[in-house]
Amino acid sequence: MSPDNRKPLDDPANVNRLVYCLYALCGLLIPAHFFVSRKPHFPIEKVPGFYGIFGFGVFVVIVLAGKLLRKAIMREEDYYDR
Amino acid sequence: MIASLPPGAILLLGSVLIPLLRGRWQAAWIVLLPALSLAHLVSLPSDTTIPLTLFDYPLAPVRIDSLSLVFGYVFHLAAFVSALYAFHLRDSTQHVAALLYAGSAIGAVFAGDLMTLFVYWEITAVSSVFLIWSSRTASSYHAGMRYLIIQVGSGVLLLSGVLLHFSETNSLAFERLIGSDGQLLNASPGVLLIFLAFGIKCAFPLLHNWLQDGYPQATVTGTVFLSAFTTKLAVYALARGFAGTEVLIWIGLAMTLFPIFFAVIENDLRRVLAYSLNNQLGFMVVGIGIGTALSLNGTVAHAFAHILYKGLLFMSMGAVLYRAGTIKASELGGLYKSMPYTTVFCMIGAASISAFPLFSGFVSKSLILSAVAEQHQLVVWLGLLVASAGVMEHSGIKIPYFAFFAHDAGIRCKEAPWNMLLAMGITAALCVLIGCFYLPLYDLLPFVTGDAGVQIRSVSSESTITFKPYTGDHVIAQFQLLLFATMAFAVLVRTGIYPPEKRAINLDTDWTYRRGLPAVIAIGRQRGSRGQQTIRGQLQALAQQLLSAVRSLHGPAGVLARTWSMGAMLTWSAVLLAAYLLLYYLS
Repeated sequence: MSPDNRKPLDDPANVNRLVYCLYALCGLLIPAHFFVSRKPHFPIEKVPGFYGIFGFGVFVVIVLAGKLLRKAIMREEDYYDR
Repeated sequence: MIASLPPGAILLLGSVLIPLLRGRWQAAWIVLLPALSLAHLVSLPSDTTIPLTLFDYPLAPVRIDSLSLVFGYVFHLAAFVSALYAFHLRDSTQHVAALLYAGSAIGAVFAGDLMTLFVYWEITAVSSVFLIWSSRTASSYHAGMRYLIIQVGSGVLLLSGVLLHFSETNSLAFERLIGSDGQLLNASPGVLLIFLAFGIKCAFPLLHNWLQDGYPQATVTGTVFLSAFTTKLAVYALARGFAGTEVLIWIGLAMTLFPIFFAVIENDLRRVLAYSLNNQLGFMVVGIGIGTALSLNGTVAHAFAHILYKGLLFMSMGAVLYRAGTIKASELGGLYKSMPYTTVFCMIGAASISAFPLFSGFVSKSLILSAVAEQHQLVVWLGLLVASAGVMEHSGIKIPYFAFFAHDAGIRCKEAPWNMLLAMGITAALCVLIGCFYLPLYDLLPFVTGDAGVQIRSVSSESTITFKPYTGDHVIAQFQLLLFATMAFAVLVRTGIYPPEKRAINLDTDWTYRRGLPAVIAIGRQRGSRGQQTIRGQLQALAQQLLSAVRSLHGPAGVLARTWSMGAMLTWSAVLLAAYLLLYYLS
């Protein structure tokens, strides 16, 4: 890649900055929920940071389950052509 | 004369002219047709009826009510932006197929009786397959064939169901088909068949794979059309005929969940979107199953928003395929440098489908999730939250990340053609507008709670929905869910746990009819021929025995075939004569 074709996202430092911003935003979102009026339908929603923890956990589980699934069902690209 | 045409007919009739036009005239005509058709729909009074009889039975080819109107509007929007997206294309077959397909889907949502619905149902099947075949490859031919068999099969089931239903009720009207108890088990066989026909077109679990098999094989522009109509026609039909059918909650939940695992590991990004489409349909089906006015309105709103953002995502991936020549995640990356506008439009689609606040998916999906919460269905609610995190994974992050960012695959191509950019721009603008100013969409929603329970309001009455998606609680909860999921992605990628994209395919239920059944048939044939051989062997042995017995008697050395000498004959004659005389004497 020629140097003049480089974009900000080609610099790992910038990517790091973006990711840290994301982490900081997530950190702010948990206390933010204490400052709004809430009408939870289920008791589990009252757990501080429930949505965040749930989103993070589920995401990891989905990806790991996908990796397992790959072992069972992944085939060569020409599987059906053979 | 125009006033006596049913909605969608302008597209059906207008498509006949397409092969007669050339170049830009043809392109202009295909963009103009949806606009003309929409103007026609808007001009039709809501009490429009077209008298028609079939063997003395009255049909209702046109029924305009608030439910059919919402779908009618969004189908026209989809037809218009998809036609604009295909403006550069010089292929009469595809244009004719696309507009026949759109026109018949529009006709179907305005069908007041089941027989008219069936006719349009089959036209959508037969016309849409040409969008797959137009790729003109061997694999698209076979995929199209499988698609056609399944789609026409759904039509055959529908017709059988309609006839059975008619023989029981003497009615062809397309109204609520499920009983007031919402139990499918108590439904008549005819209604069950109709349910199954709708279920195939709606890609219910295990009946779903025509979608992931067929759509990614269609042309760049064909997939955009395909993503809009078939499955949402099925959602419409289920909402009209099976609102409040309890089993739909669980079918819908399964639909939201299983595709997310397939989408994680799929390499073909248009197939990822097909899985994602399946997952989104699940949310709508849950809404139909819950059956309250809020949940049904959620389904309709979600279908409306979904047609636009899903179309936008398919458009952006189509543009990538068109310019980069591949849609495999393992070969893409870094395209934001070459296709910056497409990148932005794709990210707007991704934000909309992930239901970020200020984007269209947020204001529509919230209705369904709130309706589920209001019913205190904790398991379903948690399942839909899991599915929402799954959407974030495959459509919110994976699609834009692997196509436009990730590692730079070194592809340097042109930005998408102007017409594609314009179509994507209009659709992206609609996604943001609906997300920010949701009231016009809510005002279109058809279901109200009346004295007789949930019903479809008349066109002249106003929507009664009072739902407010933008509460602080709701917005923060949604941001938590989505941003923590994004954080999980960042952590998994940076720790190397996230699975790399691989050049491979994944087996799904299509394996059963592409490999499983043919294998079973081959084994059966083998076994059969073995059995055949045994029987044939035994018969042959029997025949052999018979033949050798005959041969031993009549053969060259057989007793009965021997050439006897005169002397022996005389001796025997003398013996017989002697025996005769002896017997005579004794008697």
